[in-house]
Amino acid sequence: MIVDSRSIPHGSRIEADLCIVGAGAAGISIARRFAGTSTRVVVLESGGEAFEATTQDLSRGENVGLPYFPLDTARLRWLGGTTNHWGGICRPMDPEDFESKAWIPNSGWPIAERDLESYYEPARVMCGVSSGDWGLETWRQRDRFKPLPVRGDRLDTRIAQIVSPEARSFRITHRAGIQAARNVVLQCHANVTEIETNSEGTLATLFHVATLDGNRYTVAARQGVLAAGGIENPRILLASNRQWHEGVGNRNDLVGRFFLEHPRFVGGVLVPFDRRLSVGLYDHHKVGAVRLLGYLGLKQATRDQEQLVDVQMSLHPTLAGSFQRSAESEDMKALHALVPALRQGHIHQLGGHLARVAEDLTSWQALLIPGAPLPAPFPEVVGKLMRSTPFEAQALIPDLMGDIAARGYAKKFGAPIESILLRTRINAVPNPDSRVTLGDDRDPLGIPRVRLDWRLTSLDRHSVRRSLEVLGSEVGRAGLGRVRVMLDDHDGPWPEDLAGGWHHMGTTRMADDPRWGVVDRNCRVHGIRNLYIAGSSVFPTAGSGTPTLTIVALALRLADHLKGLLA
Amino acid sequence: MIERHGLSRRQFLVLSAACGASLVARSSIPSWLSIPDRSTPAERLARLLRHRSSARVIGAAYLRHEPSEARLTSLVELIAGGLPGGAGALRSADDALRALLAGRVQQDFAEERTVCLEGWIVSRTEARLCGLAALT
Repeated sequence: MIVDSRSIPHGSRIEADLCIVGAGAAGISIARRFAGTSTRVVVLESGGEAFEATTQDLSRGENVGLPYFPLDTARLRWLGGTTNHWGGICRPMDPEDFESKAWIPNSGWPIAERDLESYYEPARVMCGVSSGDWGLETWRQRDRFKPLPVRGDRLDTRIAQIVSPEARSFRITHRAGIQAARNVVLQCHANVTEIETNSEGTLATLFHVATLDGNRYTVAARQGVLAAGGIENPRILLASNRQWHEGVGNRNDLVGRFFLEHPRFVGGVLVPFDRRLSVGLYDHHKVGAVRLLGYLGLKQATRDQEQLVDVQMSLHPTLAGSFQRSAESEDMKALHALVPALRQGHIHQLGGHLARVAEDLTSWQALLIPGAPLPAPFPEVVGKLMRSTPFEAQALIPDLMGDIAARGYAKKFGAPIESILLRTRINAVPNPDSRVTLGDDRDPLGIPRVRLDWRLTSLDRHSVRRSLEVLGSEVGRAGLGRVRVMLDDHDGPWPEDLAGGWHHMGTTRMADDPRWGVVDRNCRVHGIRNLYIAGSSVFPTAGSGTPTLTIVALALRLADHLKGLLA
Repeated sequence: MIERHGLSRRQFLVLSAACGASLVARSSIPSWLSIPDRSTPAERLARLLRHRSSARVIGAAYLRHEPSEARLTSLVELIAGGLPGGAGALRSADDALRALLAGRVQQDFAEERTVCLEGWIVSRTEARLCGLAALT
């Protein structure tokens, strides 16, 4: 059931078997796993059932590192949490995401992909993901769009799925399940201000709760789970410093460190020789009822050989004359802003000349290379060709370039491709200096606001550059076009369009050794017998997938672990 | 006779390749009509690029990047050295030479024998051809 904590009498003490802090993807997943059992579950949610500006203001904080979203927009404090503005892009972690790499400091998880494997399927259902198939080969058979014909031993195309907009918010999809569960009480407007422990600091004894209306109370539970997000989880631990000056669970000064994001920016541009080059696979599209999105990345063997982190490269065609028509898309608005700069500053200088020279070279090359973008023809062009004189046929040659998929693309956007922006997204290096700390300001509940110091490393930069260089070579080899890399390898400023993926990870990282992690492999806070953490703050590495599916898989795994303890 | 509605993919590829070849060939005079070519190897290589002014811009960027190669003889040797048959390949007919160079460009990319010019990833061979255009 769902109640409003503002009606709970001041000074109350509520007893429960399990207390979950936060009703976002992780918290709701755990609560729903317990629905219908005999376990008494209390879920403490800061917000209500709708957006409220005064509650959202509690998320305000300070950015002191790399430019980042305002912290009160980067997450949401109401039922469903940040799934209320989730983009819905899903892909599970790859097995290698869990592995430690000698050249990536602090990499590796204490668990393997097989430990989560059985939870990805129920997580998929929880998240509203249409299909359990993630392999390119599965979709290649059914998709009308094809992957770029780049060499498979260095680059691969990966497939993500996109949850349909109406199924993204956990508030919408799981509210009824929570409301119907008689053993689950979800208290809205309940802000946890402190976690109290026993005198040894080995047991979480009380969750102190405050509402913005002024009433305060406590929840005592046999087991507790922090599931408030990658910024709020460390904030609550650090702010619980009345008994322990360093905060709860922070004896090794790790809480808040290793803040990870999926940094992204336009790192390069591809100028295709064939302006009808089929890149529809790399745009949002549907195969039957399933929404898909492809992107490129270096294969693991190449990354291992070159000692790189994974960089995902998504393709964003800029289409002459089509921007106004697609201006309603936020992504297209962003690209629209970039295109004039690219045209003036980059493409129309050397790039224009290069395109013309390469046209000479590749008009020869196209005859030599199997798989170059010669032709699966448009049927009407073939018909016309068969009726034309040899001289007329020559003029039809440009129309023969491209394939049926490219025609679909042109039909959708009404214009051939001018260039393709290469937006890179980094599986960033875990960095202890990238961190969340407490600031000097306090929120209306008296809790210090957060200060975020987001940082990246030179390996992140080098990996972007090399990934684009390899793509550039493959694009050249296949006769598809030429690539420009727009990031140098020096430690200069990052591109102005650097942004995160709205993914907050790593701040209570998982490790078997308490010197290297805040939680153990079961997500239990080291040194505290009954306090657990759910959500992407436990990710030791960001991974090449998107976090939500893994957040839910980990949450379901934690729920099963807790069921064993609470039985 | 080809069935208009039953054109196989193979038939089409052959047809389009033939058309493509004629497109490529249209800019060059058939060898049996040509006057004996007295141009130097450098001029001949540079002439294969129809867009000379663009080639010069790229070539200038390349020569700034690799000033030690900024001599016609060096560039010709380096380009010819990468072709099957070496300098002998320069005596091939234009179409054959184009095909050799195209193959070499492809090989450059496959083996990452590339150079970065103002961020553009360019094959060494195409950059050197442009370098020739800049010097001739």
